[in-house]
Amino acid sequence: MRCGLPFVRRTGLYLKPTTVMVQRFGDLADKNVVDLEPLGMKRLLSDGEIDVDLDIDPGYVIVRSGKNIWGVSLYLLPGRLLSRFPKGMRQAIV
Amino acid sequence: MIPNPLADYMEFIPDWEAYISHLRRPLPAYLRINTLKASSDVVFSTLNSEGVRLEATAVKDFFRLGAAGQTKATIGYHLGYIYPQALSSGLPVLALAPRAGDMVLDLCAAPGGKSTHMAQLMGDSGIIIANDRKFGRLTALMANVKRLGITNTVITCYKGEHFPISGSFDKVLVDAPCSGDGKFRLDQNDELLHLKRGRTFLPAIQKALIQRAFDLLRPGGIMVYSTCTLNPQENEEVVSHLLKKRAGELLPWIPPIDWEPGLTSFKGRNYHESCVLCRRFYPHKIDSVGFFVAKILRPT
Ligand SMILES: C[S@@+](CC[C@H](N)C(=O)[O-])C[C@H]1O[C@@H](n2cnc3c(N)ncnc32)[C@H](O)[C@@H]1O
Repeated sequence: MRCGLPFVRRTGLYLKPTTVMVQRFGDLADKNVVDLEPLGMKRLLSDGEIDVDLDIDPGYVIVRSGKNIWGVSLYLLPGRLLSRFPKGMRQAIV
Repeated sequence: MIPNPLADYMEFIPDWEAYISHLRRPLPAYLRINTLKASSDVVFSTLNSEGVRLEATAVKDFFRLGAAGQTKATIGYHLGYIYPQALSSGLPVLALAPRAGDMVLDLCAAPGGKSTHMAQLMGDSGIIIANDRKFGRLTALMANVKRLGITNTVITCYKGEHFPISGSFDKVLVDAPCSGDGKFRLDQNDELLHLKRGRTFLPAIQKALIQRAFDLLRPGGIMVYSTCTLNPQENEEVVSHLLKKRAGELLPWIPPIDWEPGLTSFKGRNYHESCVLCRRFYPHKIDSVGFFVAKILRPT
């Protein structure tokens, strides 16, 4: 028997933080948090990808809009942010 | 003509006419806000920005929806800020009053409305074992536990009447499978709109569950038996059965919304006299699903 929330998942060679974990504990993160305006957030959800200019290393990032932490996305060079939100979230909201 | 089993309830339901006219209207929608993931201010402003209008109720953290909408299609839902849930569904949990650090068992937990409410009252501390015998219903339970960001919950799949680890829980909730007539509505011909089929021997299952739940409590522990039926055979009769078999004690409890005491007889059958300490909630009095709640102590 196990308590707790799944924290990370293996995706190929990497570990991806789970949506549920960052939604609950993401406010404790002090780096790799990307703030998006509501419009950017909506585009990321609907298009699955947006162009961004970030001064961080590529990899998984926490996505926040206003005071809400939405989940995880993948930041790739040069300047691409790829949605890694659950499918259900996109379907319900877009 | 009002169909059975509702017609039988004329014997004890107060303001029968008001009850019947309430049954002809749809039930209003309610939700609970989850404060484990964000402060209530953030939850409200997020829902507000989506046009979700909430009206306060007398049950803490429960709100009535201004207009019935698809709450599952909101951002607030996907961020785990809300759990759509009937107002009366919060009452068994308030009666049980789980506290931080408690060891709690929810014997019939899926899809997790009450388990996740308990996790919230416990500040996500202690341990909740959320059990359900139907494996297929555990997916929804697991999804809700995760969506609400809860970390103190273990999910198990036992027949409640065979649940192991006796005598160890501070609190046990039995939100029993029932005929569900507290939710029933009537159509324009006064026919029942909801009808569950294939539910036989419910009182037998309920009696087995309540007895097992009692044995799972530590001495001094508290259990709540609840249903969303108004049928005394699934309520006071089940509680009376336990009190005959075990030295349990019904505890008084003051609910935050309109209630009536439990019954001590129905259709010529007598129930344990302390059943007046059970609480009955009628749909037309509370504008939500009808409920029954009994709070029981296992004395030391
Ligand atoms: C009224 S529902 C529970 C609702 C839940 N407490 C909530 O608030 O979301 C009753 C549950 O009991 C489960 N159940 C039925 N028979 C059972 C048994 N013998 N042992 C354990 N669970 C059982 C059903 O699968 C169903 O999920």
